[in-house]
Amino acid sequence: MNSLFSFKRFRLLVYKQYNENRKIFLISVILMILPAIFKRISLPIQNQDFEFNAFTTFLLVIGGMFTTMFFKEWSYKSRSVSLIVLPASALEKILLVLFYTVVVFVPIFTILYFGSNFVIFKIFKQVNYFTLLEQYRGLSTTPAILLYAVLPYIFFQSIVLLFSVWLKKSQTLIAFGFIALLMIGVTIWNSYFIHSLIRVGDSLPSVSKQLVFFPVDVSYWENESKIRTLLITRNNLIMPISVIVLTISALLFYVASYFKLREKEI
Amino acid sequence: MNLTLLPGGIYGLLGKNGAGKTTLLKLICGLSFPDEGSIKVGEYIPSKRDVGFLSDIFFVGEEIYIAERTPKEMEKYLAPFYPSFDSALFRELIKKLEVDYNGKFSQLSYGQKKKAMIAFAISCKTKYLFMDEPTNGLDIPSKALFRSIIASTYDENRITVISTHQVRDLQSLIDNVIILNDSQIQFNVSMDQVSEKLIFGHGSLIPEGEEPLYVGGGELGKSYILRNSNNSHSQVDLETLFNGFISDPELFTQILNG
Repeated sequence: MNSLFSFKRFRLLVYKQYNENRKIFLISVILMILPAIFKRISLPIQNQDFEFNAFTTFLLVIGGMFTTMFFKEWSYKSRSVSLIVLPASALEKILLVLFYTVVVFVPIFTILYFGSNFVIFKIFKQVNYFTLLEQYRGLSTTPAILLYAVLPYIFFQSIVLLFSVWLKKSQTLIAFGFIALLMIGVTIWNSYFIHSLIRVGDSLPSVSKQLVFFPVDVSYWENESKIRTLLITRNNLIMPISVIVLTISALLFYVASYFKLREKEI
Repeated sequence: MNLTLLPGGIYGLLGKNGAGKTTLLKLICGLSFPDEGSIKVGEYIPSKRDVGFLSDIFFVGEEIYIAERTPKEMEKYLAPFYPSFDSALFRELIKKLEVDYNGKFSQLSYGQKKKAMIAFAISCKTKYLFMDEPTNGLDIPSKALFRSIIASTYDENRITVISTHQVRDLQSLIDNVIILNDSQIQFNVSMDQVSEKLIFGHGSLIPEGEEPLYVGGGELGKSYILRNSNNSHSQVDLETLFNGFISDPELFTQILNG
């Protein structure tokens, strides 16, 4: 018996997880369509930046909700017992999370999110939705989605997983708290970092008026008349470094989760 | 702590609350790791959680988790993990325990869920079956059914360990008794060995000239334990034995280990 990985056991795990959480899966699918309606009612803004940022935000929020509900057994003691004694390897159990949260969730979310937005835009005779997605920060649709939405999503998912396996109590709360602190910290850091890199004419934009996003390669400068100017850093290293840091961190968190699961005690 | 369990045995793990019964079961199942010493279950070291080991054991914890589906669905998605799972037996046990095979777990009581889990655990036909306080949450008829099911599904190749502080629930069921006190195993003896060394009696009259090792009051009157000095035979009263042990652990440990 291969004790590290078996496709047969992995298939059984996938089947079991779906059967035990079918209702949550279906609720999540419905949740994926709601942002389009919500946006139409509450946020009738139509521009590329808004659409991409909305996609990233909803991916992170709905993805976070999906993961915490779909993998409840990682957080509760009685459920952890059944997870640990289930005849499958720790690697299979970690890959199961990766499979559902990334391989299954991300494509389904992307298709349903963009599809429902397209339909809503069509119904209300707005612009062709897909024209809003043609370019983002100098990138075409797919690389932009992968870089600005999926990569941070995988990074945050890896943090949630590590905390779920590592901690014995309030794992989800602590994980989200940690992510919030991380985002605030990175944003503050980016503000000062960008400040040192960006020039607007001969003057520096006011730090307090910058809205800085993660990963840091661009920033907005908002003047007193609330007019925003897109600032793109000229440092070619920032983006590759951001991507490498996020990718390696996510990988390390997944590997750490694997080892933590192996030695998790109840 | 030294403990060896042999195939075919149904072991009753007894002890007061906090004696370490659950911890011991968790150590054996690989849910906790020993700080020192070693544990071996068959060819496996539990803390390594080898898949082969995990498919050889089934652990029914005091708190159980069952997804909100039906026993039928549970069988479909969970049974394939256990190569020796007996589907016919599962249906038979579910029926005996009066759990609806097609009923949603969300509509069942905790006791019903626990019965379904016990039926599933037995049907997995694993080499090792560990149950922690399995009768907690069961009503009196279900406790009797539990005893009858464990006895009727006896397997000479299986080791069954049932931990409980409700000693009476294991009466006439176990063939070995392990008593745990202050995280130490005081004794691990067969019921025959207990019967060879001790006599159990009930009623207000203690035989003349006998010095009882323990006298206790019970719902059915006085119960007592005597030394078995003339090879008599009496049915072991687990509750009296346990109470006797609690009253004088050293004396009973000495007699039963002697």
